[in-house]
Amino acid sequence: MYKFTRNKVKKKRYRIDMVFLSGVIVFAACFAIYMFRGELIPADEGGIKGVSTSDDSSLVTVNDDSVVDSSSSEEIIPAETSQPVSDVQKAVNPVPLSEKKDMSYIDSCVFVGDSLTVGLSSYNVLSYDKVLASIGMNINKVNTEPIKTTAGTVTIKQALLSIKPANIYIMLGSNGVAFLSNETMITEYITFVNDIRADLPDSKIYVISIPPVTAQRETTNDHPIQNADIDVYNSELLKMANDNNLYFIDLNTALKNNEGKVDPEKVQNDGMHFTKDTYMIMLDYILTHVAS
Amino acid sequence: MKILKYFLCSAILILLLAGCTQQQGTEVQPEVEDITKGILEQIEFSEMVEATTDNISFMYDLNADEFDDYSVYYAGSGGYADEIAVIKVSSQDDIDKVKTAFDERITSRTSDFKGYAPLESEKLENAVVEQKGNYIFLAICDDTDKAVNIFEDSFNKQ
Repeated sequence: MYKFTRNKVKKKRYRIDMVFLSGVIVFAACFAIYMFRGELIPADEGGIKGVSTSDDSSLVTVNDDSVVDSSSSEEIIPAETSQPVSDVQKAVNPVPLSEKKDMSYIDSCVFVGDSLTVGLSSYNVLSYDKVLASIGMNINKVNTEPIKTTAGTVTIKQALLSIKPANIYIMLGSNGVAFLSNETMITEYITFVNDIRADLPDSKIYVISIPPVTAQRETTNDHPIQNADIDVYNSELLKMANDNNLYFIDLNTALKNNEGKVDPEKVQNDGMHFTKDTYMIMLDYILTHVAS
Repeated sequence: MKILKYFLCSAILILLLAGCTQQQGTEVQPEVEDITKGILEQIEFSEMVEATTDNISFMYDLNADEFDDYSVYYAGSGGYADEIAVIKVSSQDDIDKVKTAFDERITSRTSDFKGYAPLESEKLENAVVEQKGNYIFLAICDDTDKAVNIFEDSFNKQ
């Protein structure tokens, strides 16, 4: 009798436990489904998740599997996202079309870069004191290699600390994209930018996409460069800009043709360096894409 | 006979003197723009820029206003080393200063392009600095010999 009673009591406890456990499982399943659906937002096909140009800006990220659409000369069209706005990351990227500034805006700017940037002063588009660049400059030398400037032969950072520009434009990467890993270049870029920002916290820093090359430059025997590699690097620059509260200037929307390359008429015979007319296109893009 | 001999000797002397006068070609003072434009027309270059005094100051650390005349053209693109310069000094003291500036320019450009653009490095290896009277000439281009010939020929014109 005692034994029977005991068994009976055991069975009752077992059933209650099962009921309770089932309830927990059902609740957990419902919770998981709710959270899963809540985060499931499809991105645009083949594109970069972008930022709405409205005041409610949100994070810009790059899909791991996506590549910047290099076949279109249109601006990168941002996709909508419901991710929350970070207090730190407020840059709207790529910097959208803005009211055109006049040339007096350039008084507050300095342009940092390599041989492509050298052309801004050597073509007399800008004065020498607006340009901090040298022919072979690369992202892995930018912190250490001195260059000739109107303030003497100094490093770029030393020159920036001397000038204290309100707006710093940087275009670097063309000299390394064919042989340095993107990871290396981006890491060096971040180090450089953070180093500047530590001493010039109020300066706006604009990262300019590196420009496309001609079809001929892709197949030459002498230092070929692939537009596909340029596009991937530029997508990494965009991500870096958003992760580090920098501004990204998508200059390539003004340079690429429908094939995602640059027309030969816009560059020198080497398929890469700009003509004077192309520098004027670049200047116009800078003046019409100023972050508010 | 004696009169004829004297006459012939005199004629020879006069002719020799006249010939010596003709050979003083350094009296020819060509226009610097004629030299540089002649070179630009006859040799292939990338897109070139006519240098201002600011450009000359930055490129050579020279004050162009100190000179009698100058004509300088250089490749505007950062990817090219082409450069043609003619500076006409008014003072003999400036000759060495300009020659030194041109030599240093070749040295610094050689460093700029080393390991970066082999074709441009080759131009710099063949670069020349020449002097003729108070003219100093710099040539960095695909055909330096031709550029030098054009420079030198400009002093033979009447």
